[in-house]
Amino acid sequence: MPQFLDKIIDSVSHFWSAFTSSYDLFLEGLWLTLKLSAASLLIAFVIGLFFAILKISKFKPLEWIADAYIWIIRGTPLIVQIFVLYYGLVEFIIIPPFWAGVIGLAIHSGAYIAEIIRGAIQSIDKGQMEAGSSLGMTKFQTMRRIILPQAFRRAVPSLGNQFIIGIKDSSLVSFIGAQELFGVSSSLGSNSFDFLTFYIVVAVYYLVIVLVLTAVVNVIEKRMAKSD
Amino acid sequence: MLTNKEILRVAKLNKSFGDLHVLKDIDLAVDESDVVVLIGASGSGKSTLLRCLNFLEFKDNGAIYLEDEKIEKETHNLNQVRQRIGMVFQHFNLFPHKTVLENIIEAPIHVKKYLRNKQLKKGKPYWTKSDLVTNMMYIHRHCLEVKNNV
Repeated sequence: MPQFLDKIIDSVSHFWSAFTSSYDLFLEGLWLTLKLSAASLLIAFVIGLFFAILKISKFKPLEWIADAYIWIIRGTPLIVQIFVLYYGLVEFIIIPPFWAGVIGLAIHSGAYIAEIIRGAIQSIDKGQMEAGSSLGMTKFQTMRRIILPQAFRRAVPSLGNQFIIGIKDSSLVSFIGAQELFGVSSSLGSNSFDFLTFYIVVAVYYLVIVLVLTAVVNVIEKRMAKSD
Repeated sequence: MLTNKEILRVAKLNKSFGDLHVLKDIDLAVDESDVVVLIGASGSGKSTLLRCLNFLEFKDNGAIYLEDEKIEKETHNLNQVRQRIGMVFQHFNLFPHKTVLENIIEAPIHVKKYLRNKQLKKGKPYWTKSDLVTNMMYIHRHCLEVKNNV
């Protein structure tokens, strides 16, 4: 029994010393992960909104363009998309790892966000568009002032979910050489051959990010419920 | 005897949904300050007629005159025409993300481009004085809240 306890104490103190001795490297990785995620999700949101509007357009070719984009992006793995941007396009253009990652993540999340926003817009009662028209508002005005504010409220939980996925997906950018969180943990693991410890350390970092983001989304949801 | 100016005239208006011929040769004239009541069985086309008058549905043939001006979707900017017509929907279609006051001032500010502060001052007396309207709005609002909480 004491032997067993000793082992646990050993492992915990080993984990703790790995955690404290590596935090400066991990904080750099964390900063890069946050920059990658923030930039890509911001662009993804704009892309998503754009293609959501195309998708509900009555002009069929616009809808087909959106359908094609969503089909291609959702139908291929993110790692393939990132590798195409970074290695595949090398003959034509050399994109630095950070921006290849940002663009890859943005067009990837953009396809999912487009579907989320489209669903939210279509869930708003048709009468709201008619009410806007009957007041003499243009389609664009009604969309911006009446439909979209209500649609975004409905989309907040799904968008939060998609943002969490986006942050975790940013770990794939380490495969084209960005030293973000997962890249740092892989390097430290292969330097010391202590992969288990450093992968658990990086898992803790991701858990904390997601915990904070979940709390933020919950606060936004509550605030919107109050004003509804 | 005072003869009022004609505001709205409908001539030989027809509207079908597929095989269902809803409005058959409708004629209607409304003078200034007239109050007209349309009565009919459910499904007889009362709402369809009103929706045609606000161009939310498009007539098959016939004519609609607003202040002696023949309105056609091809020749008119319908949003500008609709600014001259007020309409309350069967289910009100209020904007649930806006307050009662914001519902009232939405069109004057963003369609007619009146100044917001002026409109706020103008809007307030309306919704405190006309109890009927505000009560209906509050009840509707309350219903929405109840519905959302279930």
